Amino acid sequence: MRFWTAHTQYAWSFAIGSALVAFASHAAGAEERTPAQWLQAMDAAFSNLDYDGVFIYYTVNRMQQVAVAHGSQQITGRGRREVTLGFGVGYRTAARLATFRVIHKVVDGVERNRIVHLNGPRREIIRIGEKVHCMLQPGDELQDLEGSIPARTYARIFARRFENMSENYRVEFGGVDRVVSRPAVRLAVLPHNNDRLGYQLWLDRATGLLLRSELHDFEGSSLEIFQFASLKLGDQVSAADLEPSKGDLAMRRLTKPPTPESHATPPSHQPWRVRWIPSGFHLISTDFRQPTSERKGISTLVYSDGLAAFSVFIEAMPEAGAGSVISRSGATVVLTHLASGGNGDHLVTVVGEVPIGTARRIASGVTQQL
Amino acid sequence: MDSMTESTQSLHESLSAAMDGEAEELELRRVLNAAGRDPALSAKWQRLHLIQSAMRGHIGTVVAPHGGQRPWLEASPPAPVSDAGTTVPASSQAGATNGNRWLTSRWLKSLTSVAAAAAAAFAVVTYFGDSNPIEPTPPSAALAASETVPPRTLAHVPSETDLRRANAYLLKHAQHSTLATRPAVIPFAKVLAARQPNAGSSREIPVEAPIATANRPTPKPR
Repeated sequence: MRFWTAHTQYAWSFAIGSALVAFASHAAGAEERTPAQWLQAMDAAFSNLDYDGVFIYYTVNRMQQVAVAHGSQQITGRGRREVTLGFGVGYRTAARLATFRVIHKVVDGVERNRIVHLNGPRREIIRIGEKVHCMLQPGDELQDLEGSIPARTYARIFARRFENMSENYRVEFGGVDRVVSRPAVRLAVLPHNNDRLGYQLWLDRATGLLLRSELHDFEGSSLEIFQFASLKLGDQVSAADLEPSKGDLAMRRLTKPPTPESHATPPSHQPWRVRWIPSGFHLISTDFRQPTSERKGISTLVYSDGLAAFSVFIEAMPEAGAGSVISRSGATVVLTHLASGGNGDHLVTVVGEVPIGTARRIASGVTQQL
Repeated sequence: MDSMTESTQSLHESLSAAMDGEAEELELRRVLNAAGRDPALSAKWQRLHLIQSAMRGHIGTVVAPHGGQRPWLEASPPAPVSDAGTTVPASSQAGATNGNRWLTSRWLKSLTSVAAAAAAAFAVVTYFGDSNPIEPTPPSAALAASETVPPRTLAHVPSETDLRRANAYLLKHAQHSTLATRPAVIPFAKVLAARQPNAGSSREIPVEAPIATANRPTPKPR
């Protein structure tokens, strides 16, 4: 049970020192804390505070439409050849908005969390300490979701390295605002380089809780927005609301049970190496699954700079080959790459909250350690 | 044939947009149709392709559909690209140089072949997605090779299987992120809001045109 609490504290890179900021209910002035202290307060609020609210999650997805090309040619009366091309080719932006209720409460020293999908299929996440389960309706397309939240991570090792995050971001006050009818402090987390995304954060002035966040690319375009639309705090939060919905929802475990296989492999024994990663990102989790008769082998490397994360998945090239995928869902890109090695071709998939150029550079640096 | 009228000028602008992956569907279609009639326009398209190729280190080739590559220029005359970083003036004169003339005639020749034109159009769509430049292969060799050895490149148009695999990895990443990023509610929300790519909608492929990438050298003010 201690695991999760400890982990989340370390994972947030701005947390310097282990002492928690004491949250009094009195309003603190924006200038009473440094930006780093505000971020530390936000981190602690998410773990320690009791809250029950509805939030929206809005993503801007870039879609490309491709239709099969067909053409025809004809000789006109004057003997001139005309070519007519029929194409359906274009790009469009598809925005999505999802709505959730989130309940968080610390019960007997254990963090408990319930997140309920309010639109579309009925789905819930139930978290008790470090155990995470997903509640699904029969026939839900998420049924084949594998439990892949790693059982062990390198978080403790890298917590210290996260301290020099200011090498990659600068944090600025963006003034005072109002969100969900609460006074909020606005912070801009701006990357020094265009190899990562930037953030706008609105923190509750009284508690430090994140009320709204926006991720944007280096040009300032918003990629996704998270925002509370209603919020109850403290004693208003009932433990009864942490219980999963009654009905036909079936429970699936999302955390991987600890097995010898899932033990974190020391970096020196990893079969794959990523030659380039953006500065400040560190390996937080690895998983190397040997192929068996039932499933293919997949190597997984997860990196984080404390704010953003990306995963690198490597598998032997499927017999049927694979296609080049470059999609973006909100701030998360998915990009495939072919890695030719001495041990045959491999398919590399990079997924993460990074710009596409960064994902491409990461993918092209994946090499096999023979 | 139109002289440099306002509408031609707008076609040239549309062409630039198409090269940047910023053209809307109708705009792109308009350019493709017009390119068949206007040598200046087609020559410009050709030059822009060469410039982009040079920037990406594989000058002289343009990606063809189905994972293969075809030498865009079968011989190798001096390409009209002296400086890979410069942009081409909007009002380009076809045939102004030997290289241009060569390109124009080549281009027009290839346009008479519907197959080549289709390949070119696909190149516009898929070119930016190509992250695996390979050595140019003669078309005949490429065709022969594709039948005998496993594919050495990724297909440029992803299949349903590819999209499902990508989606599964997206979900796995969201789960990993619950440990790595804060607040964890956002990655959890990503898991809950997940959707499988629609079966049977292979005509609509959620492929990002990587427009605002970090390594894009010269963003166009547009």
